[in-house]
Amino acid sequence: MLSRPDPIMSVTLPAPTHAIRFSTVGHQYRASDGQPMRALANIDFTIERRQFVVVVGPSGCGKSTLLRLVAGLLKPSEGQVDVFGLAVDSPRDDIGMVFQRPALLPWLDVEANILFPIRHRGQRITAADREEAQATLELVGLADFRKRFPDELSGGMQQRVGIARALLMKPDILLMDEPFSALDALTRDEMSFELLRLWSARQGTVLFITHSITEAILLADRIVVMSPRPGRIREIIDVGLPRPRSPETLRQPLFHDLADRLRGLLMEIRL
Amino acid sequence: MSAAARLRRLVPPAATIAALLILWEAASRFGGLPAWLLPSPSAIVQAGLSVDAGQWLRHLLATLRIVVLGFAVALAVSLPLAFAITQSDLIRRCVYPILVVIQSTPIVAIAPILIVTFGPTDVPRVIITAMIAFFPLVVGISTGLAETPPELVELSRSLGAPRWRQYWEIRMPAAVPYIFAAVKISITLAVIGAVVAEFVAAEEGIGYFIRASTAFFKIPRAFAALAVLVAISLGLFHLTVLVQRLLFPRSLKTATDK
Repeated sequence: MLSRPDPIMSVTLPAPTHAIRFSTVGHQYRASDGQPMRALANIDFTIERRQFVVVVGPSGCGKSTLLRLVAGLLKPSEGQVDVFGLAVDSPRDDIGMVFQRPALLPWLDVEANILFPIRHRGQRITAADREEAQATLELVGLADFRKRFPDELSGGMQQRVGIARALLMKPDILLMDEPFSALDALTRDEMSFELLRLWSARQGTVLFITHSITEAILLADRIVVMSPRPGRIREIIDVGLPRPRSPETLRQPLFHDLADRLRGLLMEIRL
Repeated sequence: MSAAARLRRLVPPAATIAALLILWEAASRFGGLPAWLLPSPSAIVQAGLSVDAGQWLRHLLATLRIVVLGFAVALAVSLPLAFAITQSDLIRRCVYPILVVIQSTPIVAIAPILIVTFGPTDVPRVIITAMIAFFPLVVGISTGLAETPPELVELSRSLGAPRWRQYWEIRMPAAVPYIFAAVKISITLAVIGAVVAEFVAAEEGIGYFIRASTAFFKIPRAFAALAVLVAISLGLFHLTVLVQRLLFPRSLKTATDK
């Protein structure tokens, strides 16, 4: 009898070091007038595991499309998006998403909202899940609001619930689509530091979209600057600021240099 | 709102209605308003009381039966239809013109035809009632399903949930305020539908009773029957409000926030 190589033992794929890889990705969609529109063209870059990558760019540069490709909500017209070495063809369990608006279900209380993904995937909610929910609520500072309804919370608190919901599933990758854009400036900074604290505790990979230059520099390891029509990568900036970052970071000369550079780039793109 | 405050809010409308009734009574007694044209409120009440309670109950239950059955059929037809319309643009474009045609057809004119084709049973009455009641249901429910905030739909998709869960756990609950708004309109239309059907052919029911009364020029009695119809409509309307308040208290809150 011929001995065949054991498929499990013989195939030694190296564990992919990258979390997300865009390989010459392009995306087209049909506009309401039926004309094909190019949202993205020739996107080629890699996000390493545990990196915090922020995408900035003017409206219409395809930032959200980029995020939705990773989430498996859209399929690329050209190229391929890989997550942990596998092409994305549908939503994955190990990716959590935080939306621009908190996307909470108004008829459910806070606890039921953050447990909703479990139920919506057709799984039973266990006592352990409830404990985990309580722990996650403590993590985002909402332990006392478990039985409140979304309309009883401020905008910042609602967005915390949205983040807690994404964190509960312990995702390896967190996708965040301008999550703080609806908040006032003060709450916004507060939430940024809060997010950094959570991220350093969990050490997942984050892909974060924003319009805000301050937010981008404060959060990111790398900033991807995009230009519109079609959305392309204009430049990738490595943020060399030390961690942990704090309000002190905002006063460092390097922060201001980066802000100037980023602002200059965005002005150029707009012209 | 406290109970006392709620009661205080009732004073102005109640006083207005009381004043109108007094004015009406006075016009009949001292103003020379002829009884055959418009009987006085007291005459209507008297006529109503002169009819045997068992007889009232029989007619009332007959009408309610048609209303409830007709409304149930309307709901059973409009729910899947609303889902189909929301789900597929092609179906929406195919079905919508037909809905509008049905809505534009005077159902009162169809009633005699249906009575002849189906015979004098409950079937044509229920169909007539359902035809009048179902349009606001389809429009209301499909609007509610379609108006679900897009970020909630995206949440569902990002979780990889099957389509039926998206409808059952997100779109349906999100549509609850719309559904109840539609039911409030539809249930009162169902009463109109039942009466129209009873006008055309029936042996019992409030509609039949009005026709029978007017045939013998018992105008006060016809008015008493009319008052009973108004009571049925108001009762069903408030029953709907009550059901919504008991089962979906949060949906009232979001409705007032809008």
